[in-house]
Amino acid sequence: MARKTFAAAALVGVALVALPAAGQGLRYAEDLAPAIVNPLFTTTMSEARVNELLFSGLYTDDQDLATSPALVAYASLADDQLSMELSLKPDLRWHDGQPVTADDVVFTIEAMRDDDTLSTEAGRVSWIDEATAVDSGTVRLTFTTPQATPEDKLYFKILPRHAFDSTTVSRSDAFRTNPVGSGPYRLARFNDDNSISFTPHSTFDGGVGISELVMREVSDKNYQAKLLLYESLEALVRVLPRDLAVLQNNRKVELYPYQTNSWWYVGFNLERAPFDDVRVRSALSMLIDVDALLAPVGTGEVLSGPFVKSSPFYNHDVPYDGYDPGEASRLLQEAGFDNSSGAWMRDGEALTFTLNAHQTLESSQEVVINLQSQLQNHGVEVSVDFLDEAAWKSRVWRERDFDAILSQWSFDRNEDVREQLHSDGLRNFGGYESERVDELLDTARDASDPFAKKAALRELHAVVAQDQPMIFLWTLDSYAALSTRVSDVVIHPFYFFTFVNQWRMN
Amino acid sequence: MVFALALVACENAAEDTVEELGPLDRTWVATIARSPARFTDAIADDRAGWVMVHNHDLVRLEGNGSTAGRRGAAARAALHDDLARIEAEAWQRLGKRWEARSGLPEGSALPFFVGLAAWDAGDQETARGWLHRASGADDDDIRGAALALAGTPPGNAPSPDGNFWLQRVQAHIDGRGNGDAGDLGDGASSPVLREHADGHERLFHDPMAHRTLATAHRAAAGTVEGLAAVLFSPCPALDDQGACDAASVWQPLGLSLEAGDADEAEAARSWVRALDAKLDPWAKRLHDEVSDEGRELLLQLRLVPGFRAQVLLDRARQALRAGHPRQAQAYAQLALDLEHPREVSPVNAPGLYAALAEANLRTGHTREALDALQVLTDLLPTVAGVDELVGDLAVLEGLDRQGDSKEN
Repeated sequence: MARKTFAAAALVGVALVALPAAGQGLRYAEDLAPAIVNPLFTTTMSEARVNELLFSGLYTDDQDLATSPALVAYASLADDQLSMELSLKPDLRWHDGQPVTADDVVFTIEAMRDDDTLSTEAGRVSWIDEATAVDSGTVRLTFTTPQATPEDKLYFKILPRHAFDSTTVSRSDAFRTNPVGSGPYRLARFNDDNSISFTPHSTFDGGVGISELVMREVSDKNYQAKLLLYESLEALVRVLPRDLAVLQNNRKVELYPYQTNSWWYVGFNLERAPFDDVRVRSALSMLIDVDALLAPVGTGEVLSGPFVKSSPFYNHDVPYDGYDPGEASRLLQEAGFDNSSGAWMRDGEALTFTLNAHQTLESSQEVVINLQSQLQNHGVEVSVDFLDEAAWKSRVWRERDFDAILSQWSFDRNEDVREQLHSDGLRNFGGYESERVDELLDTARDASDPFAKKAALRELHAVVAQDQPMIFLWTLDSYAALSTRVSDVVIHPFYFFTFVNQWRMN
Repeated sequence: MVFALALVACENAAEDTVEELGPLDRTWVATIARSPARFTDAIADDRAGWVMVHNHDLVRLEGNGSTAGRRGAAARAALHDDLARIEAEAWQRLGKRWEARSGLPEGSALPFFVGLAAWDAGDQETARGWLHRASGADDDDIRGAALALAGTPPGNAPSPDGNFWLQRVQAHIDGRGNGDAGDLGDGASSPVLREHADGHERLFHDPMAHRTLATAHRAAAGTVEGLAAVLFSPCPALDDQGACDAASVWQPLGLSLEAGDADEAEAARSWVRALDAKLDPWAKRLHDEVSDEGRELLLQLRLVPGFRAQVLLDRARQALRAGHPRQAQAYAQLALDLEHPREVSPVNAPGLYAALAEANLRTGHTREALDALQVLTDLLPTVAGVDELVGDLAVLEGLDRQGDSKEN
């Protein structure tokens, strides 16, 4: 056993050299340092976690996940539920010492709504008709439709007006590297080793328990668990499923369930042939042995639609078609393809495509190589292109310039797939359009009866499984790991750091 | 492999002297590891049944009258008790939240089911309030049953007089009296009412089913004595009178049997760390001291991890009874074997998922409760109704929220 330990230590030796020593701070690992620190443009979980450290919303979740005031002291809703007034807590300060005012709230809402800002979060304020500052500490919001509990939608992070020139905010704005928030931590510095140091916001309501947080970029996820075991980190936000057993049996580490509403998928660009043909999409899904793809990644569950199996919206009556090369051949032939040469051809052109994956998606290299190999064995040539963060944002989010992508979506407990599947959805990269799905998403959004929403989204699952705009792969067993040196840990199931100000170092 | 890894963990733990760890030698784990023949004797009447007990295969143990079958029935009874509590909590939360948010749906049987759940849980005052609200139900039988139950103390069946729902209540009470659930469990797996609403259906399951199932399984469990009574259980040892004697094992090790005053997860985590600090060095010593046969039992049956998980499940249930769901959540999370976190196994008992679901539900983590219930739904069809109900609550709680999604 001692020899094993030595070998493992040697493996991580190089990485250890660069890490700061343990102190009273907490060091946590991310696969990728956030490219942008600006809540208007948040697209990844790592960015959302940093936002949680730096920024506050008007409301937040308490530890029982009930809506609780954050910046707000009190609020009053009009009898017609079409407007509300919010009074901010007195003496709130930004990290730079400026007071937090009603103008900041108004500015944030206007910046999100500004068409030229191109905020990925614009949908979060689409229900607000107007925001006005009544005085420096009071905001009045009017709504497009009556809102019974508008506070449930006022979680978005508030930005400081004085840090921007106008409500048209650019992704490249200097704010992204010099953010000013009102959250429990302030960004102290970007370090030479690509880590980011955060120090407590001295006037944060309720105080902060840990004197420094350091976010370490450790792109090789295989090393993250080792760094935790050798006490070069205090926290991993997501443990590879295959590392769970090892970490669980180390008494200096404790595991916490985290971010369980996530699923992997292969998404097709439906505006490009041959993916505009559902028979081709279905055939490709049947040429992939998803269980075999999942095995090297770890334990998880294979899915037939856009929800995880424990979701109230998962339709258990939808069969998982699975690996079926015979049926795939039939579908491809029906779509006009022929494989007499060993490769699937139509009108002299081979069935071939490029699969893009984000270079830091955990285990994606193994998945992509296996997937490539599986399809090649069935006469489909796949080239692979791993994209860095900037290229991913540009090619996938903005230009929609891809054949197919491998990625993962993580959802909060509402599991709202509207942005992914509605024809107007900002995250509907593949251009999927279905009148019925749009109707069902509208029904789900407007439902006041939970049974109605459940029924609509279960039907949506069935329709989407038929249309197959993407191949739904799996959800992984998802846990965070923290050193036992960290106490009073409560992890938010989606945003992770919501309660970080209460954490302590032993 | 996991046990081997646990031994590695021992190297991190503080070493206690043999004397300090002595109380653990009184446990059933030590007994059978040191004397495998006693284990062989204890399981002799039904080896296949004991394999099922070890694997927590409660479904296959159903109807088995052997000692193993009776242990399975006891575990099943405890599980249905857990599910009945989850269901009672979820019905109340669903009714209150729905009413507060938008008013109860007009003509719906919803308040009747919320009231019936409270009535069956013994909360007559709460029940009466909901049953009175059911006076506006469209269905004559629902209105009649609500009226009759509102004036009847829990546990007493009002005269059915041809009323479908009162007949069902009577059947439950009879079933509990004679220990035979008959087909009443079907109401837990399939809806007993499909209510047509605007473009969709509301499906209601029987809120009384799990309590009746628990009573029936408890009747089948009877009494088991001797080593067979504690094997694979959280009870470490028996006293001279054959009663569970946990105090003489845990208290000398400094492990309190009380839940403590405050509902703090950290308190539970500290307790588990203290337990592991004792169990790990003792497990290592036991592994080194016993015969090859005893060692094989320890490793193959994963006796120590299984015992640890049972102890933590017991603590979780105790914390829930004491009104400490945060503690219960921590105990259950730390008990779960993450090598197969979505599977019932020798370490992951069904009750562990029920405790996790209840703790999550009671700490506001309604959606997370469904993760635990999903494991049970795959195991037992009768969990379907609870799973749907908690799902309805999760959806209701999120109706006014805006969803958020991110990549990776």
